[in-house]
Amino acid sequence: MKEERIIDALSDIDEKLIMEANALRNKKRRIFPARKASLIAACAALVFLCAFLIPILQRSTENSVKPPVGEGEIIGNDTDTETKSESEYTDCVTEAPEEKPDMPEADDNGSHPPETENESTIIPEPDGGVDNNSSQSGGEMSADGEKVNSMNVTVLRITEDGFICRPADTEIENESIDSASDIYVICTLDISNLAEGSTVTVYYTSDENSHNTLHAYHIELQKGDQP
Amino acid sequence: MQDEMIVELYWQRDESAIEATAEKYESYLYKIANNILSDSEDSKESVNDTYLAAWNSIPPHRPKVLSAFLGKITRRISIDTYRKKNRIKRKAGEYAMSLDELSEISSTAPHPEQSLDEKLLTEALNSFLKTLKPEARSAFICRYYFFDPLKEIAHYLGISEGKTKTLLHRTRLSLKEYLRKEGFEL
Repeated sequence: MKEERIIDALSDIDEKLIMEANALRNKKRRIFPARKASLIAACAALVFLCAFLIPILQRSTENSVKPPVGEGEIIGNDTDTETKSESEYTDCVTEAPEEKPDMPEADDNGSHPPETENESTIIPEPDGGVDNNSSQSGGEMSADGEKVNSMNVTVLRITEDGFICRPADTEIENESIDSASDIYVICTLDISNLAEGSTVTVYYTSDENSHNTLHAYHIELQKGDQP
Repeated sequence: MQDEMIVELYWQRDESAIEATAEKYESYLYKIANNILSDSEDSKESVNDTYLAAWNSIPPHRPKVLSAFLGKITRRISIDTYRKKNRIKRKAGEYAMSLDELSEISSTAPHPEQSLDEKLLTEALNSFLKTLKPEARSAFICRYYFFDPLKEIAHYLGISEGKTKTLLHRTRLSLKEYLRKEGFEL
């Protein structure tokens, strides 16, 4: 048979050729180049994915941990408000925060609040009252949703927990205190800068008030009255 | 043990030569035999017959490469065993049986003309194989001399099985063309 002839003839081929082939057979087996190439490609793909995915994952993780800007601000404000509410009852004017979101920009007279170091700070009064006076003005809303009013008054006498005053547009003919018409401003603010006879703007909320008694929310010294 | 020492033991008619041969080449020879016979017992028998053949042929032979010499013997014995077994399988018909009976009276030695043809064919194969690239040559020898499976040849060469198959197919076509040009009618 033809094929058997070739098989038989191959029995006597050059020993060098046989040794060459046998050396290959005894050689340590190699990884297929194709398989090697696919391994390299897989590794490259992995590196590529890592290089692009890790930053994306990091970004998404950061986003999931960090709340949206608006939401975070609200929470921060709430926290700040709470902190202020607790602390500022005893705070002095100089420790007040710069931001005054609930302050009216100008009063009825068009005078803007003075931006001085002596400026008083908004302090919410838990049980404050408001006397609806004719000279009151304003109408902005406080952080608590209460309507904020302001009134320019002239300080008549400073007491331990506030001062007695009279609406600034009222002529002070009789400097003696009239408990029936004068306003008693109660506050826990630092009023050491106040002087009798000075004119101040008193901010208060309208929800809680009683006749002739005002729980000051914020006090601002008028220019020219600063010590 | 070095091959030269083993050969020397054969020359000294020292039976430890067979032990040394078995220790060094048994697995190599068994693989060749098993690739042809695909039978463990027959393969072991072929390997043992190889030791006996080596004992009988050394001396006068002094093989330069013992592994190639032994492998060649194992290959021949295994191919003979394979053919013998196949003839037995084909003995189903009376015609085949008659041929087998007649083969006993015919000479086992090849006809001088046939022997010359085989020698010429071997020379042609040698020439052809030397024209091939090492990869194709080794693939061809692994497949048709050692009868290694395609999968193993692919592993040896570090290429895929499909590529090995294609490589062998092209080599066969080239051989066919080469032998035709050399005047062989196969």
